[in-house]
This record gives sequence, C-alpha cells and structure tokens, in this order.
Amino acid sequence: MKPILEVSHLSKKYGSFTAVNDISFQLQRNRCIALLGTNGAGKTTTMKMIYAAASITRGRITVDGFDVKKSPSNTKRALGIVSQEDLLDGSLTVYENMIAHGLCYDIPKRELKKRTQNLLTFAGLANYDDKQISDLSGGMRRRLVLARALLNHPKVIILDEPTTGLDIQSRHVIWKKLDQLKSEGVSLLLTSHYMDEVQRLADQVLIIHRGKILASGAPDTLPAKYGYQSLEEAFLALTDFHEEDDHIVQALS
Amino acid sequence: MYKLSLRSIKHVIQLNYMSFRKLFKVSVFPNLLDPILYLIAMGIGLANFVGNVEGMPYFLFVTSGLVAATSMNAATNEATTNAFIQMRVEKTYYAVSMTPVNLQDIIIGQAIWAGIRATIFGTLFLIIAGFLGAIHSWLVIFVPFLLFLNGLLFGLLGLIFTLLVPNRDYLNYYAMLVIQPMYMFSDTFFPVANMPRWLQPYCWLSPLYHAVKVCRGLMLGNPTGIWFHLGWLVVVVILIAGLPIYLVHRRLVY
Repeated sequence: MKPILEVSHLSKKYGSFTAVNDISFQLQRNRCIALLGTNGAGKTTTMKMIYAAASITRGRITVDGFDVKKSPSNTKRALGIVSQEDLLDGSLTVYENMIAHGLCYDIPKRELKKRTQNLLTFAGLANYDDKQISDLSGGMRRRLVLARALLNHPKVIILDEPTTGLDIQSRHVIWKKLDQLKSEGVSLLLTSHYMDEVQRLADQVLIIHRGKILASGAPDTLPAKYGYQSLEEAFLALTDFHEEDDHIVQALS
Repeated sequence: MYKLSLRSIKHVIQLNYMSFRKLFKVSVFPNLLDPILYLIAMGIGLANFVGNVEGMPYFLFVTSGLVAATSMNAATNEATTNAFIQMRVEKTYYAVSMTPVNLQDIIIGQAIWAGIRATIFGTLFLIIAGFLGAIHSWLVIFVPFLLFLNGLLFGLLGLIFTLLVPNRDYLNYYAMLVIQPMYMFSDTFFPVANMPRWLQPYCWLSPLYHAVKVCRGLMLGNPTGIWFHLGWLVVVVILIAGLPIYLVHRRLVY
C-alpha cells in the first residue's frame, strides 16, 4: 500500500550546522509515528519541512502523492497541523477563528459552518463558540487548535507536542480524540516528550538524536530490540544521557 | 519564482477584513483625527494668513494634500505596526502559511489590504473635506482609485521595511525618517516649487508627491499632467512588488 507520507533522505542545514541528517521514514494510512528526541534533535525542523515552513536542503517529501517542494499548497491540503504554539487570532472569537482558518481551504461557507459546529462539539467547545481566545484555558486552546486542524478533513495530522503543559485530564481528552481520529482513518505524526503519550498513541517510534534516526520500532518491542527494559531507558541510553553530565541534575544535587 | 494564487490572496484579504470589522470603531478615530487636526490648524487657521497658493485658496491646497496623506498613513500603519504584530507577535502569518495559502499570497494580500484600508480612511476624510467645500469637480469620483494605488504602494514599502527590521522599535525610524519627511515635503502643506532647489529632486522621489498631484487635480477639476504622476506610481508598484515576496521567504522560511 502506498504510504500517505514519505520522507526520503531528508537533510536540513543551517550554514555549517546540520539539523536533520539524511532521515527517511514512511507513514501508512491509519497509523501513528512518534518522533522522540531531546530538544534540538531535529523533530520540529523535520515537521516544518513537511508542511513547507522550512526549506529542504536535500531529500524529498511527498504527502498524498504531492511533492512538498513542487506543490506546497496541494501538500498542505492533505495536512492538519497542531503546532507547538497555539497561533490563534486573539482579535477573533472561537467560532471566528475556525471560520477564518477554514476559508483558507476554499471550503464553501455553508459546509464550513456545519463542519465548525461539528468540530467544536467534537472538541467539547460547542458552548464556547462566542468566547474570546483569552477566555479559554490552556487545555481548551489545544482542543481548539486540534479542532481547527481537522476542518479540511486532513489525511495526516502533524502534532508537535500536542499536550505539553496540559493537566492529565486534558491530556486524556486529547488522546481520546486522537484515538477516535485514527479509528476513522487519519494518520498521525507526533512529537512528544511524554513516554506514556508515545506508548498510548504510536504504532512506530523513531528515536532521533542530533538530526539522525538512531532507533525505530513499535513502542513495546523497540526496547528489547536494542537491549533495554523500557522505552525511557532505551531513549536515555541512545541519546547519550549521563546523569553525572547533566547540569540540571548537578545543580539539584 | 513564487507562484501567486488569486484565491489565496482573496482569503488573506477576507481574514484581514474579519479583524478590521471588529476593530473598525477603535481604529477610525486615530486614523482620522490626525488629518482633521492638520485641516483645522493649517487649512482653516493658517489659511487666513496665507491667501492663494499656486492659484488656489490655501484651504483647498492643504485639504487635497491631506486626503492623499491620510491614505499613506493608513496603509503605513497596516503594513508596519499591524503587519509586525501579525508576523512576529501573534504569528498569524505562520498560522495562515500552514494552510494552502503560501507566504507570497499572504504578503501580496496584506499589501492589497493596506490599499483597501487607505481607500476607506482616505475616502472618509474626503467626505469630511467635501462637507467643508473642498470638492470642486465631478472627477473626485476617481479619487478612491488613486487612494488605493497610493495605499498599495505604501503597503509594499511598509512591508519591505517591516521585513527588514530586527525589532519593533525600528519601526519608529521608518515613521520618523521616511514617512514624516514625505508628509511634510510632498506638496502637502507647501508647494515644492517654492522649496530650496537642492531639496526639490528629493521631493520628486516621494510617492506621496505624485499622489498629491493626482488627488489635487481630481478634486479641483484640473487633471493636466495627472497621467504622468499616475504612471510614476504604477511603475514604482511594479518595480517593488517582488521585493517583499523575496524578503518574506528569506525571513520566515528557515
């Protein structure tokens, strides 16, 4: 089966610094791939190249058969993006933020209004449609960003640390929504610092360090494959974490 | 070469309109207060001491200049302060660029929106000026087109500067060193022909000078030479339109 997202020999350089170094992976329909890595490992840069917010130094990305470099607009039509920052328009209400986003996809107005109502209900925000963004809690904003990312019926959702900073209840609400989307045939590409989130959502984990993929596999089989007890242990060992070297640990001890 | 999409540009204008509609009441006051104050001080107060300028009452000379200047200021505010907030503070450009709308469409849509804002506020001031007796020709119906062209040009200029500055404080330099001198020395308050000879070529380089000439010609029914000035504005728009597109890709795509 043809993958919905294909990343081939992708590299990104900033001057002499290599942020992403020859990485390749394929995301199939209805599947979830999680990119695990420390801050600055190259996860967000990889995602930005997928949605054309960062230029590609070398390699190729196709989404739903479209080459990102050649037809960024067509690529983005197949994507829903939940970025690290909420990027909501503070001058507009919850409902207006949805409409403003949907307009950019050429969705007819009547259909757009219908989808907005449905998605606000899906995100548990139906009673907040006339609220200003500043009136929403962090969890509500993340759910709104997720609802907004679904307006165009994306085939792939890119989730860049979707639950960072949220309480455990909000995280569970978002996970449930993501499970539901996956069961409806949507593919997910996720970055996260939470091992429980990765284990809950991902079918495949890619551990990235200094721009390179060091390990890959299913979350429950990857540790044994590389000789470790748990995903966390594998992650720490593979990304060169030494407690005695960590300045935060030193500062606390 | 970056391809433009008319649909995407339309969406950018729609998005700007959605925010503008909500903030119209707040923004109308500062955009019109400044030219009204100048109109009272110069066009009514100083006019009593000046008499005729270039064969017309000073009140008419100043008012026609202020109509064009109002459009310049409205477009400049949109393309500098508002655009900066959208680019760097609220990151609206980034959010929109995640949709099928690409950065080049956002920039051109923003410049056109600056032109539309310039037309709205310039026309509102023109109506006020009309009530005070500053309109002397049916040709005035073409003034909104000029205001749009002038706004588009200043929208592009403002965006170029906004994309170049490292932080928000630098926008004040643009206002002080570029816009304010143009405001003063573009045939707005004083005839350029009476300025020192060394200054006159610089005045001619000001887009506002050419916009004022066209605006005055249309309001007072003396269209002689306006085609040259219109042509000057159109050529400059064509020449600079590609620069903010190039800069936005350098600045916002990493």
